[in-house]
Amino acid sequence: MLCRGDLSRIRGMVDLSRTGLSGLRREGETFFLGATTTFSEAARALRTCGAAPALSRALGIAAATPLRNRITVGGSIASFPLWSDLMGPLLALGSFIHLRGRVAKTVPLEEYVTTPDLRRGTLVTGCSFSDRPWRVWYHREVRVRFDYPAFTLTLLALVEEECVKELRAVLVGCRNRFSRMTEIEEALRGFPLGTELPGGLGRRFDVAFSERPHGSAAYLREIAGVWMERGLNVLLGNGKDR
Amino acid sequence: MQGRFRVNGKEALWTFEAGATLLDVLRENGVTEVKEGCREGHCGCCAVLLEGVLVDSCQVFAATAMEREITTSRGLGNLRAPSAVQQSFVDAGAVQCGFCTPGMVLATHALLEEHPEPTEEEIAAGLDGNLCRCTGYVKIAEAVRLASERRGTGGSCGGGCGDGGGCGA
Amino acid sequence: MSAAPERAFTVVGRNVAKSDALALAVGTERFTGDFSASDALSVAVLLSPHPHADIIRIDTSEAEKVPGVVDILHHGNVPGVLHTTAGQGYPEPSPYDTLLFDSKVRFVGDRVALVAAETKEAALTALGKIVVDYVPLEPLFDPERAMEEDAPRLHGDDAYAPLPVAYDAARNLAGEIAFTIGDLEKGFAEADFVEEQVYHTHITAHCALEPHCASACLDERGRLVVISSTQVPFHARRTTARLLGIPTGMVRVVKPRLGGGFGSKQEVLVEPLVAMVTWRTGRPATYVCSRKEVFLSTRTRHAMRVRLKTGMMRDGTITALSMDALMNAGAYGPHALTVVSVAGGKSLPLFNKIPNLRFLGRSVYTTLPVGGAYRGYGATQAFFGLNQHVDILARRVGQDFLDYVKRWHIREGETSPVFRALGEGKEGVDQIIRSCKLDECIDRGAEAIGWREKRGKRLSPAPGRVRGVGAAVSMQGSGIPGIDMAAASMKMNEDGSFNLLVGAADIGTGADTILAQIAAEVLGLPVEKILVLSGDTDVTPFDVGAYASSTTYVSGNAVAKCAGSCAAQILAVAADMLGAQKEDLCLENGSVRDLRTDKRVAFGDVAVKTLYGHDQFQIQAQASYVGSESPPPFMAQFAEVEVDLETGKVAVLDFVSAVDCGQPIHPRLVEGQVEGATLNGIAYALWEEYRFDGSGRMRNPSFWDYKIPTLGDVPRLRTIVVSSHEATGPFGAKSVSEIGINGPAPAIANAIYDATGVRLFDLPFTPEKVLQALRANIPGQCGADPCPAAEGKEA
Repeated sequence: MLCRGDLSRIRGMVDLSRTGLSGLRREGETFFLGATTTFSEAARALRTCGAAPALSRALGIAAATPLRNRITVGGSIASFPLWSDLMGPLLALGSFIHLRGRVAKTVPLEEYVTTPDLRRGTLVTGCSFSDRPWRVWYHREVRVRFDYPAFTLTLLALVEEECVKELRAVLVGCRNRFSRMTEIEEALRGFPLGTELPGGLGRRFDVAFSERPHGSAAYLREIAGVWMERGLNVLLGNGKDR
Repeated sequence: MQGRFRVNGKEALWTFEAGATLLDVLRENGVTEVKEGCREGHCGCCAVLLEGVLVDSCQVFAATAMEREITTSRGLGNLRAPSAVQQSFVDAGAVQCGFCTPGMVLATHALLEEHPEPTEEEIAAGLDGNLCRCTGYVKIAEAVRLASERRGTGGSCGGGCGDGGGCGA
Repeated sequence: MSAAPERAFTVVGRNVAKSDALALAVGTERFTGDFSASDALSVAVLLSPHPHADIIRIDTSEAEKVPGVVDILHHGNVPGVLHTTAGQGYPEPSPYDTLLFDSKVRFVGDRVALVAAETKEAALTALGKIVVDYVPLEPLFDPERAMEEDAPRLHGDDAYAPLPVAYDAARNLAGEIAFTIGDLEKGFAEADFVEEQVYHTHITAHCALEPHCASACLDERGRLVVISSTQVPFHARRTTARLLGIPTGMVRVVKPRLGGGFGSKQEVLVEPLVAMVTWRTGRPATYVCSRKEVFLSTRTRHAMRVRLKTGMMRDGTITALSMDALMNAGAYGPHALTVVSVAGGKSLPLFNKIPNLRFLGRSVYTTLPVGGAYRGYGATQAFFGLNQHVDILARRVGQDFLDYVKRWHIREGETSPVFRALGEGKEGVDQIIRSCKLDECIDRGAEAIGWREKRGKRLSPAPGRVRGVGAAVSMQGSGIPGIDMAAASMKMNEDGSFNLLVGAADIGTGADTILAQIAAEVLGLPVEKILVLSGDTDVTPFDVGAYASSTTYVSGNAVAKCAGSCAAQILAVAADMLGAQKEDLCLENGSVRDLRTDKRVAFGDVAVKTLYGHDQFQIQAQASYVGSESPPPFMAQFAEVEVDLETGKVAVLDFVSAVDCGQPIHPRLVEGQVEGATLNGIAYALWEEYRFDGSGRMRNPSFWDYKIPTLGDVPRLRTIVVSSHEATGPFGAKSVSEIGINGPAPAIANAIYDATGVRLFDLPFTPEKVLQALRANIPGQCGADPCPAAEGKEA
């Protein structure tokens, strides 16, 4: 695990890096990412097999190279730290978390994140997700390149016969840490591609932010809407990135 | 506690506190080319290659680096036989104060190992963990491109070696 | 006048290998922190959590019990010697308002106590056990309020200015300087219109990657040796000796390689701490600031409020201009007077045809982090306003910004009354501009950025995004005339090489290399034959240090003079050896050639003869130089930006800097200085900012939240070096290290205006602030909702 700040303040440590929980495995449509896989390794592995492009992009740009080479998937899932760029794509993919210890089971990531009790006395051994031919769009709101994002926005769209079969929209970084934008997902089900998107989508979700160094709560809420509309336009609209 | 470390191909037995960072243990034992710039995993001045992988040594517990190959800038080349990357930093004018340079050189080395002919985006990503306040990065980017060319052609690096070739130890 | 003389250089003007570059890239060079003795005491410093408080009690009894603690310093056991931490000429133009440890704290981050212990852990543990009782006092954050009758007072009657300059602790006035030329009211009355604007710049950090650090030990004979990351070894020696109450000669300061300064290390902050510990305990001591301490406790760029009022005729003639600069000095006053002086002194001469001119510079105390020297040194703050102001004025009279500047800027053969009226903290010196190729800088920069094609076009690459170009011009100086002195000494070795000893401090700029180039050029030697040793107060002659863009010009002139003296000695010996007249000899590639006979004698033979032959002597020389003027480098900088109208984000797409720094001694190092300064300036405009909470505590003392760019954030960045010849400079050179930071912020502001018609008067241009300004000025075009926080017309 990686700690923002001076490592020498940490007391008590178990080295998990030699536990053999590392790497990307594929079983049919399902991918399993071991907990001690670093961001760099995971991004590279996903890129190599062309899987989960939003996730591999998020992993490949979070923090910075020397940190991506140390930060692990499991550590980030367990602690949901500032640079959790990967959480949006993982949530959007409907990932599952594999736990050992006091509780030994596989739970949806959403449940894991919202149930603090699951983190007590458990060890994340990895996460799994199934990939489908999603169209993906991913945005991280940062000041400069090496920054933790104020928020990330992940859009996944499954398109069949030029219509939106399924849409998943996840915002990470709001006051509730993350939000699945179900209003938007519902509103665009069956939406025919390439046509004009309904107006005001950026305002049509209820998310509250806290003030961040990147801007006030009101500002972040507003530009989250701007980026939502831009993303949807790129993904589903006439393709023009507004 | 005590542990065996392998730095630039040389073995050493060092005593350290269990919670000590690799940065502190290296510097306390004279590996001073590894610099301390922020201790918060942000500046890259303390970067080393751990089994060939670029890491900030301030973010690595020394205990987890025992028995693993640690490479610093001095492991890439020396004054008489600098690596292509090191010589390219000199030739491109990418060294001003030089405090970031050992880390930059290692980041460039790691980048070129993975992407021998990096795109601009790959250069930006490969060096995104290394801050420089002197150069504006223009000549650092030039140095990376120059090193890529020189390594690609097995060409001149001053000491006549190619990075990743035999000049490591 | 500035045409370079017909002379082909062999070393000057060439990109020779920077003398320390390879060793730095390999990692064999040593910085201050790489020297510390294994038995050195570790120093840790307790910082004030209060912006303003009296310390009524310090209890160190528990801290003393921590195993390994050797000494604890605080106001109760350290002599209170008033001084300034500014590393400047002596007596300093900055007020003596600082004690090493005081019974009062004046900002969050002020020093309270120090622990020296066997280990860093023990020192930190002990810090946590020091009990301090504070009585909080009213803080003062607003510089506008500082001089009010009922404002809290920071400094007592004991604080004083060692020079006869304006200083009034009772009014929180850390420095004041003013002048008037002509009749301002008459000038305004004659004008067709008057334009008045207020510009605000903010507090930022230098972010040298090597934190402030120093170590001290006693040498074999009990003298104090301080190794320090300093831009001013000689000032550091003087101030440290004074604070310890020992003769200057008892202290040796050594500056090894230095990991960046940018002004932050023109400050004597850490040396006295380790020196005091070593002097008291007899033990070596070392102190490396944490990054957080660097942000909280060292020095910053001063925030400044610049009010500009201009009277103008419809043809563009300025009839009167007043610049009122109010600077936030922070809790103490190092550089408080001189930075605000330079704000006027280095900006106003650029437009030298204004008949009625007034400058008022005031620097006031607040309970915020302390300002200090920072690349640009006040000129940066002034040019932010001045360049926008000129853009506004030129637009009002329907003229292109560049055409306007070219019509009105100072030229070769001209002077400005400001040169005499305003120096650094006192009157300056008259000077006539001998070299100025600003027109060429403007023309070539405009061509490179595509000014004619892009200016005023508001090109839009996508809906909601619009582009614009803007420019800024600036000047700086080359050293402080009549004050900055540099000295050099040289001696010749058997192989014809020379040791060059200079007091100048190479802080990563490449000063050692360019000084070697200057010596090599004079002597007709390959540059590798000049072996430079710099910045060791025991070994090298005096130099004020690396600040005020002085090294190339002032130290360079000293080196040229010194080398010239060695050359004369070589010629005399060689004439004898060749049986020739000195007038017929020339120095060429390490030998002396008789132009009539073509016979040569190698430098090595000359050296051997003088060292081992008859009537031996050492070929050696020393020279000092004090500038009688400060020839300014000139620069034109151009930004192309894209403004995202829906998010307020400003992206710099392209940035061009065209600089006239005289004859570039080392063109690539010139580019390096300009590029580094430019990116620092872009970051100053867009990202960097001290953010404070309600109690004056910096909220972002970390690289995680104080954002400086990495390689991927750099726009296309180009440097055009326009050569001129400065007759008073070494081989025609002027200095170049600071000027590049002056233009980015105003050029970007002018480009944002060009793109959007919206003007930003306050730095930095954060997306939210930009969006608010866009909203307030072009409603309906920038997203759907009025931004809830939007206020006023000006951001």
